[in-house]
Amino acid sequence: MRDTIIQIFNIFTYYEAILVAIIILLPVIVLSIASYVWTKSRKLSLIALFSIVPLITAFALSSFFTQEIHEISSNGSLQVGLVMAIIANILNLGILVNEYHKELTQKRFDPDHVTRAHFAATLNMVVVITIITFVTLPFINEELRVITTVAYITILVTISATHGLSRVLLRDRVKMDKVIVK
Amino acid sequence: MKFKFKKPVLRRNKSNSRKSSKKRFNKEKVFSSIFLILFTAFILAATLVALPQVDKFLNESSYDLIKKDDDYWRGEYILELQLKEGDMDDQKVQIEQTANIIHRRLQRFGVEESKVVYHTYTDESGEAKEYTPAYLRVVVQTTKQQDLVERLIGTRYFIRFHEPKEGVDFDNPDDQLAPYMMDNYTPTDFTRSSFRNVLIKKLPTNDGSEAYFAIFKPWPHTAGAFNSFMKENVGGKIGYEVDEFVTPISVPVEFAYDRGASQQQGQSNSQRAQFTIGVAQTADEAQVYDLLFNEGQIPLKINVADSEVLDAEINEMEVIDILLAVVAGVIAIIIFTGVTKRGLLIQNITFAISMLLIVSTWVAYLKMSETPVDLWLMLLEGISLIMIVYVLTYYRHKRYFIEALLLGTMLLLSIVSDGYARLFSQTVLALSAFAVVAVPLTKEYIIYMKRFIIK
Repeated sequence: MRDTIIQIFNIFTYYEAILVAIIILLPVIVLSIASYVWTKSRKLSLIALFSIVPLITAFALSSFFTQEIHEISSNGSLQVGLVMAIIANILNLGILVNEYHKELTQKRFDPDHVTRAHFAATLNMVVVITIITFVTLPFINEELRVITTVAYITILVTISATHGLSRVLLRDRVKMDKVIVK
Repeated sequence: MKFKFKKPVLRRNKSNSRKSSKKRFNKEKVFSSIFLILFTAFILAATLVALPQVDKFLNESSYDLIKKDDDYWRGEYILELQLKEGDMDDQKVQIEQTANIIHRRLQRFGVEESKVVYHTYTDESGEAKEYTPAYLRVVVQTTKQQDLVERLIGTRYFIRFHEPKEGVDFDNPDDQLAPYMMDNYTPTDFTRSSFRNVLIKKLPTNDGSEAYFAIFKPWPHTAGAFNSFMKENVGGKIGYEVDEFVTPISVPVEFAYDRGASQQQGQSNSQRAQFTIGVAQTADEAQVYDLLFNEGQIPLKINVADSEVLDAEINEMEVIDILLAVVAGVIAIIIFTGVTKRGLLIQNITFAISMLLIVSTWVAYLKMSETPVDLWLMLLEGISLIMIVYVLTYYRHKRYFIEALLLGTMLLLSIVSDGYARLFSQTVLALSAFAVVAVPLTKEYIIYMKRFIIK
């Protein structure tokens, strides 16, 4: 187990462990601080922070199983897949925060508008990433296939999970209560 | 009766009105025409240069994309650490520190792939050793100069200053090795730890050329004592030890004018005489010395017990495959957005032209600057670029936050990551910055072009 984690995240020294932790945590922490400063919403900051969980889990599991299936062990190149997933996660969270801020400027704030607009953006992104992955697969060799597949699965799981989380946390409770009373 | 103010109608001067309208017309038209011509010319030129196999049609210039594949070498080194007697936990910490420092040196030097792992090794020489050995296995794959990388792996770079023993004559022609014998010196307490930093700087030499020098910047609490030590030896020689090899160094006269330990409180380091030593001729070598001096002090004596140069593990790809993959990706996305009507026509065209502009400029730059590239990494950068340009093109609301976030993240990643991830992050940062400018510019270009065609 320990060796698998070391191999997947390319962590062989404490120095590398710190680097990987910074790579994963720092962008999301900066984003959650920026989103709090911009929107004053603690829930949004929480969503940004929690997006790390599906990201790490999906990356670790998909790396392990993809390498097992292809019988390939990537030396450090898998970290590029992790960076790709981080970029996609940041873009997705950026859209969510932007939508939230846009809704704040409206006369009547409705979180459903935020989640609906974010769903459209997430869905578009999922489709686009699926298209890019499947279109490029025939042109690349097996080792690259492992990296793109890992990046694809990680991105898919992370942005879907983040959207699910935003649905749960940004639900308009007042409106829901009214519906229930009726 | 209500007075109704009638706005006076001024009779325009015919010549003036013609002049002003002409002026307005010229300004807009000239600007749009120049913009259209320049933009079109730039895209066409960049695309022509970026096309694969274009060098076959150009006899004079070589516009071929240089692959890194042939420059890669792979090496495996077994490092022997000479453990000091003591607590097992202390020994473990020292091994970890050594592994961390070696890895940090390699990473900062830009080695693409590096691994430092604990290793079980049996020394076949059978020699009795005075110390307990521990072993680290270092594997590297890089395009960097082999001897420099090996210096970073196998050198401890422990520094100590020595004072010559009384009665030893360094100028004796019958004993020319005397200045290089450790026995002729008395060690002092001044080691690398006595210095806050060792600055590597390019300075002029006595013969008028330039070389890289190491300038030792002492801590405020050691500066006085160190300068006093140097002052005592002005005109003579001191010993400068690196990994148990001592070299005699003449102490420059500047130290004679230094006010020494008695007045150290009010004296800044810049006012003090500083110990300087020539280290390298080339920038790469200077970087290696910078890392050896400043990336931590290895706590144990180390030596390379075994080394082997292996065949590099290369992820081979062809330029044409990458180009086809990116083009197919862009076309597929345009078809998807067109069929599902998720994007407007202008967005589709902007996406296509932006991708053409960015990819062709990127490849043309790589070809013209003769920068060696990893093709497999280029493909992943291309995929990320499609994703980024897609969001920048099709996301209809204000994008400042997303753009700032993207650039900030890429900047962070390009600073903190290492190996291939760092190369990837640096390129994607440059491409994202270009995309942030190129996408709105392309949109303007299409609007101007549409007006131009309709007219």
